[in-house]
Amino acid sequence: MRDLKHLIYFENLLQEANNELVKRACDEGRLALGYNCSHIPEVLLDVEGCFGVRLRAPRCISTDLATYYMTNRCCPYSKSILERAFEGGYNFIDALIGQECCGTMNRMEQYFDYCKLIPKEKFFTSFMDVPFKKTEWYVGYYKRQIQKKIIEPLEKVYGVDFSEESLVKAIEQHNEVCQIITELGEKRKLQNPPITGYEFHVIQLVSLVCPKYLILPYLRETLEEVNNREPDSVHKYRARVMIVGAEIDDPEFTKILEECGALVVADRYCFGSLPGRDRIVIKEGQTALDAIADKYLNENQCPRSMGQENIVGRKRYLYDLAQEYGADGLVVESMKFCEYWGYERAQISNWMMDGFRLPGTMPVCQIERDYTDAATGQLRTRFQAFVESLEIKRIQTVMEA
Amino acid sequence: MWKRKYSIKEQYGTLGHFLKGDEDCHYIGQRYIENTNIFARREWRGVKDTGVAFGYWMYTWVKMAGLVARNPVRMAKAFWKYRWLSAYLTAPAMVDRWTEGDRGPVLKCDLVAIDCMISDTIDTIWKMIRADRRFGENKHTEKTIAIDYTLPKHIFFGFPDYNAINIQQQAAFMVPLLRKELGGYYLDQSVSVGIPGDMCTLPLVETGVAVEGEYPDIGNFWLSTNNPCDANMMDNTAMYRALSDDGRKPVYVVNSPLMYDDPTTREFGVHELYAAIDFLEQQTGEKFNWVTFKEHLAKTNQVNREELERWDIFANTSSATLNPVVQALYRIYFYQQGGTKYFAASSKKTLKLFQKAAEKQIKTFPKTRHRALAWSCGSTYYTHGSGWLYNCWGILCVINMDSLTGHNIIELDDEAELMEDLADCYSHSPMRTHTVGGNRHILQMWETAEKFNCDTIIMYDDVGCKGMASAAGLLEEEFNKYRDKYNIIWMPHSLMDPRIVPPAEARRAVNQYMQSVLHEEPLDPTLVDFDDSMGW
Repeated sequence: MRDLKHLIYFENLLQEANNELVKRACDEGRLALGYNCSHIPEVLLDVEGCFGVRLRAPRCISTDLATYYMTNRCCPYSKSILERAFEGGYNFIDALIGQECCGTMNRMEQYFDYCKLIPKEKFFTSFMDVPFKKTEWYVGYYKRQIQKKIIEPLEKVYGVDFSEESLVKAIEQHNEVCQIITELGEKRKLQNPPITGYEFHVIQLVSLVCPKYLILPYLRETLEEVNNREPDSVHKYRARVMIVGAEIDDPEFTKILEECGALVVADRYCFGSLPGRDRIVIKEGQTALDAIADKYLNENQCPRSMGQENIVGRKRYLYDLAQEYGADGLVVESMKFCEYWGYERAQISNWMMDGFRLPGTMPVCQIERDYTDAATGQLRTRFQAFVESLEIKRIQTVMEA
Repeated sequence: MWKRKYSIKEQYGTLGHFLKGDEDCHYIGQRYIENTNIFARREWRGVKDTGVAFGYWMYTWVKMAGLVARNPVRMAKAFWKYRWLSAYLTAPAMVDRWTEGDRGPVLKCDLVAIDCMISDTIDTIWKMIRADRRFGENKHTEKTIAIDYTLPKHIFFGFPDYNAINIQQQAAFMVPLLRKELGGYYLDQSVSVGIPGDMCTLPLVETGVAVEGEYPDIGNFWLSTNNPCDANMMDNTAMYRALSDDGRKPVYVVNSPLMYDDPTTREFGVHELYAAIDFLEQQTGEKFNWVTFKEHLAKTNQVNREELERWDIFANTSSATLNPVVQALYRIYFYQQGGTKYFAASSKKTLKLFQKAAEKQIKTFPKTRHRALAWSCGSTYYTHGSGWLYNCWGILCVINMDSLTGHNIIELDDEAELMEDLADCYSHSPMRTHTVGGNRHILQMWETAEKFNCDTIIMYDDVGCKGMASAAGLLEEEFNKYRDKYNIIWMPHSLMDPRIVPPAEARRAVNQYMQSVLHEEPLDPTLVDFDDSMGW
């Protein structure tokens, strides 16, 4: 396939948290609002005068300072973010919108305050208490938390406008980004998709870390390009897989997997597009904030959601996605020391193997990884073996038929 | 063959000391069988105290025999099926281990508290086994409900015909307290199904029991919770298949807000209680009984009031009569079980002993050199480590972090306030109160140390705890501000698995500090360095 016109530009944008577009938005006087978790409603941070930046620590190779603060027994993602903050990599942000979803990430976010990491006078952190279940009452509670922990502080400190019109406008912009990402993602359902998993991963990431209004023109153009793109006539991939798991903000991970012969067709992880890139629909009788709360709580597939409906629902969601995108198997990864995904990874694997509460079974490759791709050799070996096993399974199925 | 390292003459000096058991040094370590902490002979505490200790020790055996006698066939089947149950055969040894070095009112008070826990445990085990479908379904089966062990039982007293069982309490949590190496077996089972072994070992052991299918099959539904931490929350999902009988039993989650002292989260905790009551009403077909519920809360309040009085004596005198091992476990156990008849009775007795000692100004721990606050989550397999701290170095842990939980007095007259207070109590669970909801909760250690007149902080370092590990730098920086006021000693452990951090390593860390930093001599040289790797 021909290279995407903006791919290198997108890759470059991912080299720094404070990338070219972020700098431009800051120069235009917009407030940069950092966040780390999919429980934070991204769209709210993109209202007029602000833009949300999901924090990443690209090219982080050493976490010495963060290890002093968080030991070497904690989530490397959180530590890498903290390390980058110590290095001054997020000095551009005006507020950090945090949450107490995972203890380690919450501690990391608290260090922004404790160590006074951001040299801005008005910088503040705010933490939401996110519920664990998803009925109407919890959506209401979540909405009230958004009001108290995001809207009120931003209004008070920076005078940000969260009026209904402002929210509707932000939703429209957000929906356009979602629409583009979804359309690109849909192409991965094709037998021979005109977009690779790596390219999609890069595009999805830039949509999370760049100001929406600045990245949108590039995304529009890229969608058009992909719509007209001719895929290679010879399919070089030997299997189709879906990636499931924790924070993967490094597209190299997807690249390694694809280099091993597995086309990544779906991405159900913390920085992925499933389910985060569905449009926000304001239903009749709902305010914009109601719709936002409804979407961000109900659609979230984080393993911290409790109750049998969520425990079972998550696995069913994965199975259905795999069917929809034609995945032959799942690569379930967890960040080292991640308690949520460490447990969830094992459960997904067991449930998929047994077909428990599912219409069928599904092969699974479990990966435990570091934030940096230091162990790429080992990963390659695991991926190659998995791809081979999927091939053998396919051959056996054909022979049995 | 066991031999004395110190002769009777060397140890006691005079007949008077021998008869009273008040010798200068107990030489506790010399009684251990080599490579263990198992006693070659019972501790001689003087005529009177030895008699008291032996009496309670025998009483423990009698109670255990009584448990088996209730239904020998069912109990035999349970012993055959549940590996963890075998750990309870060592309960009398645990009594001795927890009371090492105790004398006079401390011994008496500890034995009263331990007896309460043993009675409650026997009662709970019996109710579980009696109702267990695996050994035959009966009228008790559906009336005995499984709940997560970090969920206090209070609301279940509104359903007086039902018994709520903290399902992991006896089958998992207590196991390494009795036999330290048994936790590792269950941990391995969790790892064998793909769960990483580098996380908190407590939920791993709980999950391992589920993997082995060793939770009693009781009731027609179960209740889980997000208490106390991320890992424990996830073990509830990992145990889903086992405890819901592969989805056949409904599961209800009773959550507590993580940022529990933030006023904007109060509604969450209250909502959860009402929702749980609704669920229980639907499942049981019974109406919530506010009268029996409030009666139970009144008893719980009473025990909490008595506990606060005990804390006052701990804080302001040298006459507290519970040793640190028993005090910690008694408090945690009470949090989970609530004001049951055993706690209501024993609490009164222990308070009387406290008050009596305080009135007479008895220095109940006469060898105290340092008053310590034990912070962070303590080990289960080395629960008696705080006893060792006193016996070996004279470090008396007057209070510990997990005791300072769930002691708010619940308003009984106004329903709205009652539910708010109860939600507050539910969110203040052991291992959670100070580890979630913001750094300020960890840092309450300073005001607590001040309040309890401590000069030392024993900082437990659970190598699997992410909540505390991620606060390591915060703690170090805070420690630097207080080093001239407090001795701060890290004591590593691995909560449930002594293979990761053996008790000897924890002792070594303390020994190094005491010898190299404080230049102190041990009170009991036989306890400084010994190998108990093969012990219980």
